[in-house]
Amino acid sequence: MDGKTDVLIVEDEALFAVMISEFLKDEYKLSCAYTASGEDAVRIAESQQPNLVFMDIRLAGRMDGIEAAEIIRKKSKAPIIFMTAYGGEATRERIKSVHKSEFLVKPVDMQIIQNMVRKYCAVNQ
Amino acid sequence: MFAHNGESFQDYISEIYFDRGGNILFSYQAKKTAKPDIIRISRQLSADAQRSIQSEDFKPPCFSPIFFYNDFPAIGMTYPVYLNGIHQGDLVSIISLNRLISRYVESMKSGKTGQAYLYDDSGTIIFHHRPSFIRTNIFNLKIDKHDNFQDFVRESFTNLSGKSSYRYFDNFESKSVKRKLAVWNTIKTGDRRLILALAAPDAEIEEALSDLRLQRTLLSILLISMFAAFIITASYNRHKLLVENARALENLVNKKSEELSAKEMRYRTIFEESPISLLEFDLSQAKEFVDKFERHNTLPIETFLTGNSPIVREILSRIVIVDANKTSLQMFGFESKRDFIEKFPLNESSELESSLIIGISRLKQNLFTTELETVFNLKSGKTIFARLFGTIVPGHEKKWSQILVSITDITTIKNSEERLLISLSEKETLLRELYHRTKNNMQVICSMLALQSATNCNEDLRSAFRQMENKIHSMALVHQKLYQSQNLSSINLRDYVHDLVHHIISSYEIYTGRIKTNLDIENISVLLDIAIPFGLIISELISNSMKYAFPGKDSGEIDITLRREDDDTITLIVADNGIGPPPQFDVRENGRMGMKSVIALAELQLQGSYSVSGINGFVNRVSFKDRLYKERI
Repeated sequence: MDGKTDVLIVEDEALFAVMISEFLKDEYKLSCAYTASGEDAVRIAESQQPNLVFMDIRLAGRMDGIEAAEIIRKKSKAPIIFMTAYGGEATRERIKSVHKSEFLVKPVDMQIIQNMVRKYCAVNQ
Repeated sequence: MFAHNGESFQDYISEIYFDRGGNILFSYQAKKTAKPDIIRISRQLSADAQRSIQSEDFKPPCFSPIFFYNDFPAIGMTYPVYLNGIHQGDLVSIISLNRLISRYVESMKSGKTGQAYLYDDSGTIIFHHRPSFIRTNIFNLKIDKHDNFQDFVRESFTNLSGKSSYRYFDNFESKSVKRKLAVWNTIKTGDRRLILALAAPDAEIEEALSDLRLQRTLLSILLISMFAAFIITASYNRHKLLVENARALENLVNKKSEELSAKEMRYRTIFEESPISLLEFDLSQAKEFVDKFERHNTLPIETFLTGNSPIVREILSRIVIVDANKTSLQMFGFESKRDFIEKFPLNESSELESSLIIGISRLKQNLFTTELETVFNLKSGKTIFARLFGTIVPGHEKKWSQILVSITDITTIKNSEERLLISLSEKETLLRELYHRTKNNMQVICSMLALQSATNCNEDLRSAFRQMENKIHSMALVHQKLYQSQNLSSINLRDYVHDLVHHIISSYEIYTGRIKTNLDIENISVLLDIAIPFGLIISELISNSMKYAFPGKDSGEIDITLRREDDDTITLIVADNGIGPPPQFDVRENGRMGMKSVIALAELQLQGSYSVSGINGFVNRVSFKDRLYKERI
C-alpha cells in the first residue's frame, strides 16, 4: 500500500468496508485501507500507523477483532472503534481490556462514523 | 516318553502303551510304526493280562505263551500300570526270541549227535536243529516206537533242572539200542517257563563232561537264564518308570485342573457379575432349519426371510438361550435364571423379526461379529429399545452352537434421538420460514425502491435505485433458493445465476430484446457464505455492462461462464462485447464504488482474486475457493 493510511477499516463485510472507505475519501479526503482478516490488520497497522482503526469483531481467519486489537495496541497508539452486531456482555468485557477503544453496535449510522473521524482525525468540521 | 535304560530295541519287536480305555498313548515297532496285526496281538495281550489280574493273585509282568510272529518265536510281556490303586493302562512289549536263540542255542551241540531243544511250558518247540520240529509239540515227538524219550520230556516239566537217561533206537547209524542222557534247565519268565534241553548219547555226554564244549553249553544255559532275568529286571524298571511318569502326569493333571478350575471360576464370576448384560445362545438348531430352507431356495436369505413371518418365528423358536448373567435378569425383570431362560424373548415383534433376519443374513455371510438394534418386552410389560453386540465363540462358526450376546438398553438414547429429530425438524421448518420471510421482506424493499424509482424522473436517481434493487434482489434470491433447497445451507448456482441474470436484464427496460446473454454455468452448489457475495458480484458486473458497454448500440452480448477448476477453485467470467474501458483505465484506481465493491467482495470476502481485461469489450474474471466457509471455521 502506497502513502500514508489515515483510517484502517477491518471488516469482513466487504460492501460495508468499501462504503465507509469511499465515504471518508469523498467527504474528508482521507486515505483508507481495508481488510477482512485480523492478521492483515496487525500488519497494516504496524506499517502504516493509521490515525484511527474501525474494527469488526467477527473476522475472516483465525484471529478475531479483539485479539487483533490487543496486538495492534502494542504497536500503535491509534484509537480502535469496535463495531459489531454481537453486543453481548462477554464481548463488552473483553473490549474493556483494550486501552483507548470505543464500541459501536451495528448497524452503524454514517453520522456516528463521521463523529468518530472528526474526534480522532484532524479533519474539518 | 519311555526310557530304555540302555536296553537295545533289537530284542523288541514292539512296545505299545494302552490307556485303560484301550487307546494307544505310545507305540514303537522296530524301524516302523506298529502294524495293525501287532496292535491287535498287543491289545489281546493287554486284555489277557487284565483277566489274569482279576482272576488270580497276580503280580506283573504278565507273560504270554511263546508265539510265532513272521515264523520267528516271540513272547509278549504286559505291565499293567497302577497309580494309587487305580489301573492307568498297560505297556505291552513283544520280544523276539530269535536273537536269543541265534546267540546261544543254535550253536549248541554236544559230541557228535548231541541235540539242543528249546520248548515252552505248553510243549511247543521253539528251536530244534531240524526246522520241521519247530512249532510242533514235543509231547508228540517220537524218535521211534521203542524209545522212552517222553519220560525225559515229562520229567523236564516236573523239575526245573536236572538230567535224565532214556533209551533210543538209532536208525541212522548202528540200528542198535543206545542210551542218551538229557540235561535241561528252566528259564522262568514270570509265570511262564522256557525249557532248554540238551540230549546226547551217554558216552558222548560223559566224554564231553570234561569237554569245554559242554561247559560252554552249560554256560549258555546260565547265560540264557541271566538274560531272562535281565529282561524281567528291565521290565520292572520300565514298569517303575511308567508309574513315576503316570504319577507325574497325574500331578500335572491335578495342578492344571486346579488352575483351570480357578480360571473357570474367575471367568464365571466375570460373566455373572458383569455390569453389562451378557447372554449365551445356541443357534445350532436354528441354523439346521435355515440350511434346510436354503437348499430349496435360490433367493438371498435376507430376501427370502423378509415378509416370511411364520418361518422367522419358527427360527426364533429354535434359538436356545443357554445362560444369562445377573444384569440380564435385572434388565428384563426376572429373579430366577431358569424362569428367564424359559420365557426369553417375551415378544415376537416385527422389530425383533427384522433384527433376526439381519443377524441370520450376516452369519450366513460369515460375519461372526455383529451389531443390531431391536425392541424387547420386559417382564413388567414395558418395551425397551436394545442394542445387541453378538459374536460367535471361536470354534463354533460352523454350527453356530455358542454365541455370546451383550444387550444394552438404549431406550433413553432412542427417546432423546427421537426428540432431537423432532426438534431438528422444527428448527428446519423455522429456518425455512425465516429464509422465506427474509426473502419476502427484501422483495418488499425492492418493490418500494422500484416504486420510488418510477415516481422519480431523475435518471441518475432511477439508476441508483435500480442498482440498489438489483443488489437486494440478488440477496433475496439466495434466500429463496435456500428455503427451496433440501439441506437449507447450500444453493445451486446454475439455477440461481439463470434467475438472477434474467431479473437484472429485465430491469433495464430500454435494452429489452437487444442484449443477448450466453450462459455456460456448471452445476455447482455453494454455501450461503459464498452465495451472497457471489450474487452481489454478478449483479454488479452485469449491471455495469448494461450501463456502460453498449451506449448507442442496437445490440450486444454478455457471456457468463461459471466453471469448477481442478483444485476446487470456482471461476466466474462475465464478458461483454461492448466498447470496453477508456484508454489507460485502471479499475482499481479509477473504478467507481460498484467496481471497488466487486474487488473487495472477491478479494476480501471470498478471499479470491479479481482480474480484468479490456480487449474486445470488458472481461471480468473472479476466482475463489468453494471451501471458504469450512476454512474460516
